[in-house]
Amino acid sequence: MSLPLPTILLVDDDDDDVLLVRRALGSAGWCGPIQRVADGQELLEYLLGKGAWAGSPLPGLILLDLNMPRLDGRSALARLRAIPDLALLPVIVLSTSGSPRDRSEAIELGANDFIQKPSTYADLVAAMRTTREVWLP
Amino acid sequence: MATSGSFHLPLNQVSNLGVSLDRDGRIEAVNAALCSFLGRTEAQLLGADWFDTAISTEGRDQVRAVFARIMLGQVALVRHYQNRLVRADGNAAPVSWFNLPRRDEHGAIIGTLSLGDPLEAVTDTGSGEPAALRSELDLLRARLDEAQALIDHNPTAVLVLRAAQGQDFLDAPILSVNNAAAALLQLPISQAIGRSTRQAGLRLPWEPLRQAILNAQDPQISTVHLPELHTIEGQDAGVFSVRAFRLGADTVGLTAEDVTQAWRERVESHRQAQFLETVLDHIPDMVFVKEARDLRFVRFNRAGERLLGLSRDELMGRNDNDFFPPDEAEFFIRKDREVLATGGVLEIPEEPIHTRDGVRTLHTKKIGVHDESGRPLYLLGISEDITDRKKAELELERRALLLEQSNRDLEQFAYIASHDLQEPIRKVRQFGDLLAESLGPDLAPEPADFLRRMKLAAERMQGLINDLLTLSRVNSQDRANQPVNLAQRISDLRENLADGIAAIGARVEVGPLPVVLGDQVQLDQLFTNLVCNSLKFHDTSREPVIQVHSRMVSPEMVEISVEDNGIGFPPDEAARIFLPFHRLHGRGDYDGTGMGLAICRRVVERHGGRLIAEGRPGQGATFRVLLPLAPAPK
Repeated sequence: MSLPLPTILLVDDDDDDVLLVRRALGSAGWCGPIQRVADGQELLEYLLGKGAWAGSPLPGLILLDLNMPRLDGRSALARLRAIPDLALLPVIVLSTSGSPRDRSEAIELGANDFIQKPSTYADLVAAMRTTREVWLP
Repeated sequence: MATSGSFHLPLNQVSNLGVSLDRDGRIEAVNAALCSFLGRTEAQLLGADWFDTAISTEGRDQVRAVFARIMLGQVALVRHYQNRLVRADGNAAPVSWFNLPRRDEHGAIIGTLSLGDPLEAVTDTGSGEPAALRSELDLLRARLDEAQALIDHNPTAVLVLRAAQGQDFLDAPILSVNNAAAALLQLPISQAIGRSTRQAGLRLPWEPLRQAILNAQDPQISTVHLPELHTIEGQDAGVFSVRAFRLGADTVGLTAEDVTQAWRERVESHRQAQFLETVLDHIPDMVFVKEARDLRFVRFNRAGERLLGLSRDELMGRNDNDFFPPDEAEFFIRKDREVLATGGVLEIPEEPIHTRDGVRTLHTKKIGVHDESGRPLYLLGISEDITDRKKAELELERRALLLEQSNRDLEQFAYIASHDLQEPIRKVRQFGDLLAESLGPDLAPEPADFLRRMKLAAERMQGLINDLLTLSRVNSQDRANQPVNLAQRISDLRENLADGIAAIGARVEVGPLPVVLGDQVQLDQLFTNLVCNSLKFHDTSREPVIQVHSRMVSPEMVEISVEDNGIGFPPDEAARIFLPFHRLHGRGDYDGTGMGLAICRRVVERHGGRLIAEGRPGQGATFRVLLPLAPAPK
């Protein structure tokens, strides 16, 4: 008997990216639950169990995009870290940006890591494998 | 005794009848001889009208006329005169008179002095003159001789002409001349007298003289002073100030004073003033001089007239308050006072001024001119009209600003564009990967080749976008300005590139390198690009050698050279290789986007340095980077 696998929460408004990351996580051997919210606002609602998300379990890992409508990744991260219960939740920023500035800013806001979305599918799978192995049991 | 004037004759000391009249013909003084001759007391006579009291009725008007002529100075005509006096007893007796005018200190006639001899008492004394009168006349003659001597030796030429009825003064005979006039005529006095000025060859400025003489309303003595100087022709004498004195209806006195020397001096000083004026008028800047007391203009050059749209005549003698708005005039005057008080040169780099053509901008220098005791005399001002230059500068500034703005916009655009382009191309590649994976190894050779080509094209596009993003990031992001230890950076760089260096068997030699001032990330990028460039374009026929050295070019700047022995490039490509997307070689020969050197140059320029490429085909390339040194630690 094993413990139930934690949920990986994808926070991204781009359906293509969600499709690719879901598939890459599968290719990387992840068979646990994957949830998706489309922006920072919805992320906070999920985490606080509001509305449709009432009763949802806290995710074991959050993969957070930066540029999103309503509430972007940076602001969502800052608010999330301000909530004591969520201060230690692993959050990996997954962004198109390769800018060193975006990276250091994200780390400062409390991201556990910053991954530039890779160019090839193989690299994406590799990045997801590493992430899973580092951050999830 | 109430006599006055130039002749003071003690009337009571002469035996003649003696009377002195004032200008109205009233008796001012009378002697005892005349009192007893008339049978009246002095008290009865003093203040009385001489003609009513003492002249017989029938001759009275004639005597009055004689008196009037004396009063007008026509003494010569009436000096000797006879009339009949009426005594207290009613008898009349003839008297012979000798009359003289009395003058005040200015020479104006204020009355007469007359000495008389009763005709029945006249006895022949040989000369026809009473003995007492003779002594008085000797005295007067001596006086006249003195006056004649004064006139004769005066340096001013004096001539007297007398014209016959209707005769032109030019032809009038010379009545008398003094020595100076004779010299002017170049004749002895004796020969000059009797000739006309025409005969004597003396060409006086007759026309104005004649006009002035004829126009004189006063028929008596009039003086004409010709305001202009006249050259008396026929002589080499020069310039004279000529006056005419009308001595009577037909008699004219002329004086000619030699003023040649004064005239020459005036001409010379005028010439100098003119020279200065000419120089000032040829200076293209406004030049003005104000007197120090009221700051009124005393000199103004042509450029100044043109600038202000005011003529010299309008400006002279007036000051700034007359021409400029109050606050502007107040500013000018304040600066004038300042420089007069402090001395030296005061520079006003820009001052607005209202002119007839609108507001202009001047660059003005003001200089105080002082006398030897330091008292301010004049204020000298020199103003250059810099309106047009200023306008051009402003326009240039505006354009530079626009250009900068447009550059910034372009950089921002490049950044955003390349940033946003990244995402779709990444997806094209990833879905391409998925497609290839899904179709698997069973794919027919041709579709498999299409897919491979598509993926390669997408990959190259992503490379281009990445480089473009890097290039625009060099501009759009803030640049750190910290000491960067180049020796350490190049050492790290060698380690990072170890695989590539080993792959072609290259040797990298690094000399001593300094600490420079700049952004470490950007400088890493710069040297990585340069070294990678050398690695990429190595010459396969020999061992690749890359040398990195430094050389101080000034206390603030250092030159870092990256030199290789690779394939090089033609010298005329040296400038073009830095253009974005510029490639010297076909894609088949060398991989790359053509952005590496463009990024390098941008990094160096952002550091205030310079990047120069030198190369020869087949002989390698050298890149020289000029960078600012970090200040030495204290």
